[in-house]
Amino acid sequence: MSPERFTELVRAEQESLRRFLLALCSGNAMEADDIAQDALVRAYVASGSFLGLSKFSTWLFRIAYNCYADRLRRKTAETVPADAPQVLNLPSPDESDDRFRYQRLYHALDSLSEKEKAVTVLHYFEERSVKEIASILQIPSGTVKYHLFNARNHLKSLLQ
Amino acid sequence: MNQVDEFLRLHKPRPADNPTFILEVRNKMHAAEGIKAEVDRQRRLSRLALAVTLAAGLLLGACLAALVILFPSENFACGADVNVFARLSGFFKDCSPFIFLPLAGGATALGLLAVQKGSGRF
Repeated sequence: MSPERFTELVRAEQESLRRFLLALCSGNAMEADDIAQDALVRAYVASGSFLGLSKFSTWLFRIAYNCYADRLRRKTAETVPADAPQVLNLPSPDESDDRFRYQRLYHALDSLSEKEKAVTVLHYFEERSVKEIASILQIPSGTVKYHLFNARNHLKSLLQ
Repeated sequence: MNQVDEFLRLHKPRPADNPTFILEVRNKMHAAEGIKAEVDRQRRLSRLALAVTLAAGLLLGACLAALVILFPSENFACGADVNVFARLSGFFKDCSPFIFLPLAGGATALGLLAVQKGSGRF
């Protein structure tokens, strides 16, 4: 795939992809954009292996979710010594406003498991079908429905 | 469930405008392109080296076989047991197609397999 064609396809998907990662990263726009760029470069390098069996956006979201999962795994594996000085990743003023605006949402999403969070974000914010979500997260459709049901119940109890 | 649906639909996050996003992606793509080209070049070189090694091996083997078959055993004057060479020479004369053809075929197949594995296609 030529860089121009790839950029054209990415331009159409970038907002949706960034929103997906923003919700997964609980409003940390800098981290979300970093993962999005990482995912897009990975997708570009692997674009030769894209056979068109699924939609381009589904394929892109799958790579983005894998990048996010990798980052999460690395974060969990990194152990910070107890006496290490704390470095705060201060958000920009705009980002702070957005975070404040969506505080309740991110708090609710953070209370879900990673899979439930991803399923909820894809279903409600990206309006993806169960089949597409299953393809993105590489889990069976039944498991997607199960996670969605659990997430709804959990969020319902949290919002009441 | 409607309360949850409504809450989520109302709170759909909106990523902040980032005009440099695509530009940054393009720069990274460009860098990745350079790395990819270098990796491809290295891969091509290693494939070529493998093919040359295979050809050289086959050629050398053929030369040695020809040497053993064509030259009489008495020409070896290095103190070795002349009879052994004579017997070997006779053996190779009779059975050379049955020995060298499968050997060459096997070596070629191994070479092809190694080249395919080296190319890392999946």
